[in-house]
Amino acid sequence: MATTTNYGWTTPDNTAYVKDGASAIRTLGSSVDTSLFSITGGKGVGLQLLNSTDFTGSSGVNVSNIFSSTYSRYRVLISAYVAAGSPLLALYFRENVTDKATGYYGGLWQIRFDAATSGTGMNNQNYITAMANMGSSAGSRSVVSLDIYRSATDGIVSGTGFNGNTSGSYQIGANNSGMSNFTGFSISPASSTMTGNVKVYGYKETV
Amino acid sequence: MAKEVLTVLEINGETGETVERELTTAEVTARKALATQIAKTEAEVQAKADARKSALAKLADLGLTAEEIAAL
Repeated sequence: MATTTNYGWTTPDNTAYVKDGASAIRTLGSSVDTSLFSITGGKGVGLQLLNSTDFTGSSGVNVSNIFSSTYSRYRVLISAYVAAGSPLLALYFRENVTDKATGYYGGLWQIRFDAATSGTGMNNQNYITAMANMGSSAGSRSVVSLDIYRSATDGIVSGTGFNGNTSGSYQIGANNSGMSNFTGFSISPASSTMTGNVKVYGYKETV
Repeated sequence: MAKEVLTVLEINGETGETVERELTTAEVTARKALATQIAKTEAEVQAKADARKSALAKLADLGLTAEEIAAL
C-alpha cells in the first residue's frame, strides 16, 4: 500500500480499483484530519485574531468589549509612531468603557545600545508603560508585544511584554489587582498624536 | 491660529465598529495630567542614566578598564 512521504497517510496504489476510491478518499481524509488535530493541539486552538485596526493622527485609541470570558489570555501587538514629544505610550486596562486609573504595580526595564544609559527603568506608574519610538529617528517604528492574562480565580490582570526599536529593547511587566469588569484597554501618548495599528488576539486553549 | 482638535479612536471589539470623536473636557484634563506624569518619570529616568554615566566615568578615571567596570 502506498503512503505519503512525511506522515505516512495511506493512498491508493496505481493498480488499485476505481470502485475502492470512496473508501480510499475517506481513509486519507481521516488520516489528514487526525494529523491536523494533533499538530495544532486541537480544533482551532491557538491565536485567534479578534481585532485589527489602523489609526492615524490619534490622540488615543480605546479598545472596548474585546476581553471576555471566552479567553483568559490575550496578545496585543501595537505598532505605533508618535509624531512628537515623548515616545512613551501609556496603556490602561479598561472596565466597561472607562480606563482603570489606579492599582497598577510593575515596571519597565530598558537595555539600550548606548551602554551608559542602559539598565535604567521606571516603576509603579498608574498605567502600564510601553514604548513607541523611543529615541529613534523620525519615521522609524517599533512594535510593542504584550501578553495579557486575567486570572479567573482572583481576577488579577497581568501584562508582560517587550518592545524593540532602534534604541534598544524594553521589558514591560505590571499587574492590576482591582479589576472588576475587565473589557479592554487604551493606549495614548503623553502629548502629540500617534499613527499605527493595534491587533488583539485571543488564545484559544481548548477544543 | 486654528484650535488643535484632539481625537480618540473608539474601537468596539465585539462589533468591530470604530468611531473617531473629539476628546471630552475630562479626557483633555487627564491627558495633561498624563503628560506631566510622563515628563516627571522621564526626568527621573534621565537623572538615573546621567548618574550612572557619571559613575562609570569616575570608575574609569580610577583606572578600571571597561571590562572591569562591566564585571561590577
